[in-house]
Order: sequence, then C-alpha cells, then structure tokens
Amino acid sequence: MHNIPRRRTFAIAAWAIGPLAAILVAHQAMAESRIAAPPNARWSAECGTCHVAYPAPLLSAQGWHRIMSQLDRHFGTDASLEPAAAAEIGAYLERYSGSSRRTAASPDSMRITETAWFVHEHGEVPSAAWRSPAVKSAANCAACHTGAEKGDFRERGIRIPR
Amino acid sequence: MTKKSRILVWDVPTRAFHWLLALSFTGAFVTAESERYRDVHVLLGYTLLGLLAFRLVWGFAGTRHARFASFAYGPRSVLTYVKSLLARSPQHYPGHNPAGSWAIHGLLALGVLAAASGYATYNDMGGHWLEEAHEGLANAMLGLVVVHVAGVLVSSILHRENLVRSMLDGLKSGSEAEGIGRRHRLVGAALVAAVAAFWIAGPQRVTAAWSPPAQPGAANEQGAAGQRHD
Repeated sequence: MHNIPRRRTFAIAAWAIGPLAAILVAHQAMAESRIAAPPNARWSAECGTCHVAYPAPLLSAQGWHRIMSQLDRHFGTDASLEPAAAAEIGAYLERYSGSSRRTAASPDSMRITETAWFVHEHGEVPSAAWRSPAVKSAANCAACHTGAEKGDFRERGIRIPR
Repeated sequence: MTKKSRILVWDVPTRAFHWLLALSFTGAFVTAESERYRDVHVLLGYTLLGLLAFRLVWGFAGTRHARFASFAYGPRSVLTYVKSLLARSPQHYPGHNPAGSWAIHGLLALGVLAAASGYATYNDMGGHWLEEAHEGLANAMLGLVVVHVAGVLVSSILHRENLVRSMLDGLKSGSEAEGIGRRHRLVGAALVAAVAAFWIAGPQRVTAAWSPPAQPGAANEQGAAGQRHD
C-alpha cells in the first residue's frame, strides 16, 4: 500500500516513548529521597552522638514511643535522658513519625530495619554488602548513604562499600 | 466493496472506561514509590479494580464491539493481521483488530492481577514476594501499554485513520452495517460520576485506619542543645 516515511517513524517513536519517559521520570521523582522533617537541635545532639540521628518519618509513633519508654535499655546501652530532653525529643519524634503502615514495626520490634518500608527499599542491596566490615550493621546508614547525617538519602548519594 | 463512512463503533462507557483506566494507571504508576502519596496510589488502585469490574460486565452487556465475543481472536488471525501490517496492506477491522485485542485482554488481565496483588500487599496478606509480584505485574502492564500505544500509532498511519481520535469520538471508518446504534451516554455518565464520587469521598475511607500525616512547617522545634546522656 504505502511505506511509512521516516519522519512519521520518528513521530511514532516520540509519541510512544515520550510519555513513557515522562511516567518513568515522574515515578522516580516521586520516590522520596529526602526524609522530610525539620531538624531538631536536641534530637540531633542527643541521638546523633552515638549513631546517625534517625529521621522521625522512618518509624511509626508507636515505635518511637516504645524506644523512648525504655532508653535505659537502648539496644544494649543505657541511653537515658533527663526528663526535659526526653519529653522534647519524644514529642518531636512522635510529631514527625511515619504515618504509613509501612513504617510500622511489629509490636515486639522497634527496629527501623524491620519495617516493610526499609525491607522494600533495601531489597536490591547484595547480601555481601551487609556483611562488609565497613558496614557492620544495617543500622549504620552512613556506611552507604553518604548524606545520611544531613537527612539526605538520595539514590545518587549511595556508595556501597566493597 | 461497500461504501465506507464514519460510523459509531465505541460506545460512551467504553471510551470513558479507556481514558479513566489510562489516567488511573498512569497516576498509580507515578505515585508507586512515594510514601507521601501512598493514599493516592491506593485510591487509584481501587479505582482500577472498580473500572475493570465494570469492563468485565460491559464485555458481556455492552454494544457489539465492546463485547469480548467480538474480539476473541486466535493466534492465527493475529499472525495474519501482523503479516498484513508488515506487507503494508493492513486488514481492516471495524472494532479491535486481532493484535490489538490481545493487548486489550493482556492489559485487562494484568490490571486485575496488579490491583489485586496491590490490595493484598497493602493489607499485609502476603510476604515480600507479593510486593515484588505487584511491581512485576505493574511493570509488565506498563510495557504492554507501550506496545499498545505503538500499535495504535502504527495502525493509525497504515490505515490512514486517527485511532486516538476514534477513542475520543467513537467513530471509525466502516460500512453502516458494522456500526453500533446506541451510545449509552447514561451508563458512561454514571461510570464517570461513580469514579468522581469515589475520588472525592474515597480518601477518608481508604485511609481511615491511619493516623493523619504529620504537618511539617509550624515550627517551635528548635530546643536548647547540649544536654548530655546521663
């Protein structure tokens, strides 16, 4: 009958691939890479001394409450705070806590690493990376997330140590 | 050959379903990885499932070219059709062509599976594998959408007929006898109204089990620093 002129072929490709590219870019852009919660000075000072000050949205209010209520037995350490600091930090964490079910840890856990969100986001990390001496623990965000201290968990800031 | 003219082939519900499905799928795909827009994603997933349920019914109750029976083609007719495309003398079908019909059946099936697996994942009915399956199904669906769109564009050019416009105004070229009589405007309007009502009233119901998301902004978070652990 007739051939498709080259210009039309380009037009077809553009119309088929253009929207696809737009959808994929938007899909990536919508994935939160920056954990959005305004920093709190006391939280970063008290919680950020021994480990990365874990952003509040990573755990449910319930999870934070559990952590704050047993600071004297904090993952094998006594991390007790004076009441005023504990109250302020507790309120701050609760206020910006993750509201999604996916950030809810199981009732007997208070580990961010056991939330559905964490497990899903880290599904592509090779198991060898977790055992690397430079990582030591899944709680060591900064081992791979170079901007973790600043609450920046963007994909491009990830450097998995070998 | 009979005289060809612009005839009505797609009734209003079929067209409304098509564009609402495209919109819902696009929205759901875009918000898939976002925690902040999780409720939008879930809402669109429910919309998808509702739309597909309607389409299933309309596949039996709808007008001629919307009925599944009118586009149940075997692999041989798909092959013959693709060959006719490659030979650049495409066979003309008033409704779905055989290749297109396979894309439609595939999209409907993947849509149901993706939405159902999403529902199950969201309600913790399965493990991590279910979440992976949900993603795989959604990606496969996007892939098939691209094939579908490319097919529509290629066919549009080879048939010298704007098939995208056909899905908007319902008209395609064909002989009078191949057309449909009724537009079913009322059913179409009801479908659009149901989706609109769900989008307006649904969010509270869908996310009712959650605590409201925190409202960042209102400050007063800057406490005094420097207290040490005991």
